[in-house]
Amino acid sequence: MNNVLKLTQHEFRDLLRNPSIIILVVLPIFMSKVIITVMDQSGLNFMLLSTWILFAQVMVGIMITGPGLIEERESKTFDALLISPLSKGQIIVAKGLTVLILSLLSQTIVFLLNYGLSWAFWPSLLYMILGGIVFVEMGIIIGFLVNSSQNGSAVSSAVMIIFFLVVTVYEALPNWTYPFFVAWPSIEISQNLNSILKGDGLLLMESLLLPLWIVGLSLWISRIGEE
Amino acid sequence: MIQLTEVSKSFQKKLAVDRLSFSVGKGEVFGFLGPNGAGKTTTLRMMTGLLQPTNGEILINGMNISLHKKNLHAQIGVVFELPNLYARSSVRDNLILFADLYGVTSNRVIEVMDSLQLLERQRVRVDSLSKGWKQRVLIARALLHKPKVLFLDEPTSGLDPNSAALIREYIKIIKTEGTTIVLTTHDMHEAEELSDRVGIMHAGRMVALDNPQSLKNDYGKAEIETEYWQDGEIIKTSWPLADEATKDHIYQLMTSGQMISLHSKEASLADVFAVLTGSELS
Repeated sequence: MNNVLKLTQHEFRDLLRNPSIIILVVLPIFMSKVIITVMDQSGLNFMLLSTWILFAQVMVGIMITGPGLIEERESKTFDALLISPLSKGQIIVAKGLTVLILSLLSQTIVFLLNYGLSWAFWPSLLYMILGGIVFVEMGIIIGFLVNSSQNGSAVSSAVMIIFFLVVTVYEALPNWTYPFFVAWPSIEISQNLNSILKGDGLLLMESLLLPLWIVGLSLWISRIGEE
Repeated sequence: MIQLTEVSKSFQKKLAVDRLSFSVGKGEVFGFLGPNGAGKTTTLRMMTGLLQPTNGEILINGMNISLHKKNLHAQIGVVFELPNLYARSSVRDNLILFADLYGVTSNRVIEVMDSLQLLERQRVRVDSLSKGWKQRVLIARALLHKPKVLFLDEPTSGLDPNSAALIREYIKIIKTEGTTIVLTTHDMHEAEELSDRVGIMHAGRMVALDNPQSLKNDYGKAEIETEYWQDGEIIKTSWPLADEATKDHIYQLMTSGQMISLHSKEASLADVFAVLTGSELS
């Protein structure tokens, strides 16, 4: 555990030395403030806070983890870690934890900047963490399966857009489509956040499906690691 | 110290390493030679536990690398062919990370940096260093925890002659400390200068293994190189030293005044390599 924290600390410092990482963390904060303000002033009920929290999750989680891991594999710094006392699992946890912290930082600022500190923050934090983990795990899978940085950025962008877009369009579709969409983690997160922010509390099925995603993705990562 | 028994590695249907068996003794410097694609790096990656052999077993210090990976990783150091350092971090930060992971004191980090003349550049970001300096950082990182076995993959590849000479001198110092060293190289002179024994790989197989002098005796041939005038042109020719006819050729050229120069040429590892693999190497 001690070694995981040491690597996490190093990863954190290393990521913050990269200007493009700072942009990825700050972009959801900036966009959420501008667009939510515009939506409020024009009286439109679209692109709500939950959407921007999700945007921070997918943007930071997938776009930093995936291409970052591919870069490490290409430059072979990953090999250097593999022959250190760290196990494969510890390396993955340290890398995931680093991005999860950045994801939570971005999501928290999006929340506080647009909604202020209220009771709703604490239950929302649970979904920020769960959603953060899901998209970091997706980034890790992309990082292990894709072989070049260029392809990695393209695949990460495509996955990010799909998971983000589905949230912005599914409400316009007929109600009977919901059981299909509820299987998407981005829908589960945004539905729960919307419900919390409206004061309706947590949604049972949407909440139970998220840990299933986390477990499923963890098993997938573990299998890739073994291969 | 290191024992490979019938080790093979296949990637899908392609056999990269074919039933390799050899051992490396404690404190020995073992040079791995072979053309690109011969299987040297694949073998090195299997010996360091980064790749799992398809067949066979690799023992280091009596332990199977596949079964005792982390235990053995504490005893080995690896200098990779690529400068796989954290480019945005300083020299010191790169070393401190691994020192922390290995539980090495900061005094040891300073000691290693000092031995490789890195102290003055310890605050410099790695991405602004030349390849020679990066190579020193790689060696420093591999030596932090005082490994019993050091693996060096092309340690002087792409370096200027001064940096290469410095790295070679440092390898000799490590050797005197009793560290077992396995190095891969394309440089025949380097292999000859540093290695106690040399293994030549070709198409995934070990085609020769012995000390450099024995390999030269077995596979090389000493020659006489001559330059002489003939019909107004300078001709360069080599004749086998051991051949009876050679002395007649030379006598005739010398007495006729045609001879310009005459040199004896010892067999080199490059000659051995050419004989064994059918191709010349740098």
